[in-house]
Amino acid sequence: MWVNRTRTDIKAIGHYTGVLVAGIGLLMLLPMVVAVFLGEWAVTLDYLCGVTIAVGAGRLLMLSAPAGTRLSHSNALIVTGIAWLAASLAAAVPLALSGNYGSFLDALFDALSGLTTSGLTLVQDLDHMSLAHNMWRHLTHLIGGQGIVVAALSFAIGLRGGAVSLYQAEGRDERIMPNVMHGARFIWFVTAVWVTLGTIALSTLNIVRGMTVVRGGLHAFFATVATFDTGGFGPMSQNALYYHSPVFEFITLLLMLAGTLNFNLHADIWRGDRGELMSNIEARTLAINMGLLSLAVALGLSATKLFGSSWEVVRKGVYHIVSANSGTGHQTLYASQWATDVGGLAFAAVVLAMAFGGMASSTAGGIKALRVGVIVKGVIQKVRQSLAPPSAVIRTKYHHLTEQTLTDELVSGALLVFVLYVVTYISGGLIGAAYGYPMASALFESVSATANVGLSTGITSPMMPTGLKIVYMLQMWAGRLEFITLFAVIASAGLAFRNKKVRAL
Amino acid sequence: MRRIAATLALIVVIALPASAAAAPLSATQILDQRAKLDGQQVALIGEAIGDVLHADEGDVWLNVLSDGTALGVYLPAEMADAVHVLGDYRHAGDIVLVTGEYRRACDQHGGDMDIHATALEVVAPGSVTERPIEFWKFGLAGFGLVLTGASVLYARYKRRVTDGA
Repeated sequence: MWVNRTRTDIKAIGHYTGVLVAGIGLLMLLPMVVAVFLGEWAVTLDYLCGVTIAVGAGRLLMLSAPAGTRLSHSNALIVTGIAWLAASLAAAVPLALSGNYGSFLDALFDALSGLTTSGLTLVQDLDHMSLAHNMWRHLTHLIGGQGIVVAALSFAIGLRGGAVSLYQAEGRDERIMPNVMHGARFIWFVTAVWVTLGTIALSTLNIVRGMTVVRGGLHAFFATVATFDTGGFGPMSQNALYYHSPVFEFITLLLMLAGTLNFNLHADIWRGDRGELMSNIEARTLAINMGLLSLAVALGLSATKLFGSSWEVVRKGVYHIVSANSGTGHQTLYASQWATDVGGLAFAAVVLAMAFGGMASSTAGGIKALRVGVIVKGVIQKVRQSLAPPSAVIRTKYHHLTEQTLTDELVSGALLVFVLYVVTYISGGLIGAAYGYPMASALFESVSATANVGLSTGITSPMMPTGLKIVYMLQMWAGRLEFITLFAVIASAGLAFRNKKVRAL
Repeated sequence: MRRIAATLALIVVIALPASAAAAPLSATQILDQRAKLDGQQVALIGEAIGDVLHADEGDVWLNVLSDGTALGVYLPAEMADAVHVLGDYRHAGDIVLVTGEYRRACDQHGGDMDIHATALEVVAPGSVTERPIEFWKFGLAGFGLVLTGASVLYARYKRRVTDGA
């Protein structure tokens, strides 16, 4: 049975969407402060516009229902789905005013890409972009990576009646702490620790290498946030290649791995239970996945004979596999090299790494290691059942935070999301090909968008067709919400439209 | 004005007919011909951007941008001293002509694409980029402020009415 939204439901949805939009507006105060500190007055004005418009629009939406209005789980799903789009619209305002985007749509693309921690970009003349605008681009990774709702919860901005529902609707059904507010704060605590460590390490490196303290510190913060939140934006057009440093690559490699860890595993490590990391099905699946794909990419790169030593092959191979698997999207190759220089095997390995993705309850995207692990266990169970006597009862156990028994429901749930991802990957690839791009490159870009990775063969550029920009935006949005939330939004909108039509007849 | 002059200088130098060995190329042209130019002496022209980054004893990295592509140039520190303005938000960087060996996957630098420079010349000096305030944006900010103020006041009014009832 389809449940129609009542007027009260719609008002509650409007109110909480408004809270989140106003929250995004308040967060724009941070780049505004940076702009003032750096004396970037024209940029300060861009953020004054951004703050006032987002807070104003948010407050206006909040008027639809009184504060503390109860939010049901299904309404929370819709708020979460809409919030990513509404927050992107608000976040795009200062970017559109920066002069670095060809249109508002391009700025919106980057805002959505930032919030979904994808990292695909349509920015122009990035090498001359202001540091304050770069601060905002990278902060969108931080806000989106931790989750818009988690961000709002942590700063306690008026989510009283809908906190638990929204927290769960954002895909965090695994409770890290018994209390959602504590869970949200723990996520920020882990993030703060890693961001501080990363920023200190990279700042030291940058300053030692000759950057000024302010520029070196800001670049370090940008790189850390983009890496730990598995986003992939960079303040320079060359991305990670700008720094020409194996030390930079090593530090960001560690941050990518930390970013792709389930926050529950971070909590276990924090509590001193390192055994969980060894026995967890997700951690094991991801390790096997990265190991096999790194081997494949190394073999593929060796076959091209482009790289002169095995060290080069390992350095390029491991960095890009971890970048792809974690959903970060940092690259030390030029976009056009993917299609021509790395060879078929390495290219395919990177596409697979992007498609599989990192861990659940992390900032990574893609199908996720937990689902891949559950599906593999499910296949093994089926094989065991087919070989066992008819009377035998075959049970499969696996360890994910606790000992769990594999059920048909779990396997079918994982398969459902797996199929949805694969269908979206292929559909996006076909659409790209229909626009005239080579199929392999189009598939690469489609997987990168849906799995929120950000690696690019060069298709994503300000010159690409508007239709394809919208397709990739939908893919980034769908991938971040893992489809079901997006379907809930579409179904609700469809029902509302149908009811309106019926009433009109 | 100085930025326009620098850009014109860049266009003129790229467009000038010259001998094949010395013909200045943009970073995009080099990237597009990477297989053909691998291991060859090339002349790259473009804007010095960002930072001069220390590499190892006596050598630095300079990134050169032209046609929307930036390429890493590895060169001795004293050669990089000729560069005075690096491109960023506030500056259009010096336009430099770099001559050196192009490496599609440099064995010395972990397989990165780069140019090992043997000569660097500043073709046009960099300049300060004016970033004037666009006053129409005050109107936009004002609209946002009015929107915020009106919604806050209306919320208060509604609360007072509800409390009164």
